[in-house]
Amino acid sequence: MDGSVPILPGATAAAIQRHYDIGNEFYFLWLDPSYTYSCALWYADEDLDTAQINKIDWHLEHCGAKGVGRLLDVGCGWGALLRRATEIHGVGHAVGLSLSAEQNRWIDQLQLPKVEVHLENWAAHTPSAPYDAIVSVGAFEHFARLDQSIEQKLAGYRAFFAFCHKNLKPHSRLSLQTITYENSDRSDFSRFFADKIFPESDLPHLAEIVESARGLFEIEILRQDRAHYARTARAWLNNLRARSAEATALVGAETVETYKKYLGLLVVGFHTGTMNLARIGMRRCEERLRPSQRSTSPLS
Amino acid sequence: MNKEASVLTPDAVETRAADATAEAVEQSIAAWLRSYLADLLDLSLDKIDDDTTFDRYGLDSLASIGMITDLGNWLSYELDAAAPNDYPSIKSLARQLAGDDKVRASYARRLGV
Repeated sequence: MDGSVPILPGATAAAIQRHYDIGNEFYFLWLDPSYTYSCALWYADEDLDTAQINKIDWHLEHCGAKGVGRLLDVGCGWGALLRRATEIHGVGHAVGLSLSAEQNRWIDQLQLPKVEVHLENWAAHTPSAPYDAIVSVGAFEHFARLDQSIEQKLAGYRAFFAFCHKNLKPHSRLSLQTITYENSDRSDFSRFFADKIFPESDLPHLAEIVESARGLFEIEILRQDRAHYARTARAWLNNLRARSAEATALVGAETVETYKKYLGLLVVGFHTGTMNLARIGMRRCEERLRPSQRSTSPLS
Repeated sequence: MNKEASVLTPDAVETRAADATAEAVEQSIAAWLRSYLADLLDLSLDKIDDDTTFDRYGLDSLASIGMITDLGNWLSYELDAAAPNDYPSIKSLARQLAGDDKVRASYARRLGV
């Protein structure tokens, strides 16, 4: 609290690693071939693989990443977005942050020439130069904990938006995707989720995102896509069921059953609307002019 | 009506046969669900009502996923995790599943009906 140690809101690295470091091979059995572990985006009857690429492209479009010099991906997973940004969308240099050691090792061994990845909380990230675009898909869910007060939770979210504002060039954009509480709240948060699946994590309400971004980012586009997450979770569950024997050999029967329940809960939660999935394209708010500067404004 | 019913066209016969099968499968699934809930809730079978919703029995999402998974295993057919949410009682769920050709075919294969 003396200011020398950054306050790290949300889940600790240990909590993140409990979920994401079960083993890459286990996740690769039931995710799509790009290993994208977040809600896909369907325009029609594409398969999961294509719908995951649709999702990545949606975010790269709405953070304005095409052809830019520097992109930051907060919570980069196994690097699918970093890879597509640099290989297809002409991004010069893409930086990924993940608290999962397994994910970091995986991206490192891919040896992608324009990609670097750090085992680092966003709050501790101090880039050498500002970014042209920031994207964060499926990480915001870990930016608050159930044991925090609502005020602490909002302060953590606001710190994230302040971090993005500080490290983005003027007029640049952030594209965000997160699960939200819809017709539920933290008192409904399943003990099973809290204990077995996502320790030290709490979901935002859409209003909390909007409130904590106020004055830092303006919202340009918002999609609410819970049906897409129900469909994604169904696809993952079907894949895991089909690969049950291999999954059991990797992580044991108990973990496989736990994951089947977890994916089933995602299906039910998104299908019934206790949870939603927000995709938000945001633009950095610029400094308000002080009175002494107004004379130079073309509007004066 | 009676006269017409006594002279069945081939289509009508097929429809009747399908109805009968669906009815039998519905009864069978309903019986399985009654037994499952009685066992889960430690109630006698006669306390289980086909029209009472699963949440009235205290089933949360996790419990309903367990139920639909076990039912799917029994039918040898993977059922949608959200089916008990859309069809929230024994009667409605059994009727819906028995109305699905693929569920009936799997049931028939599995149980030799």
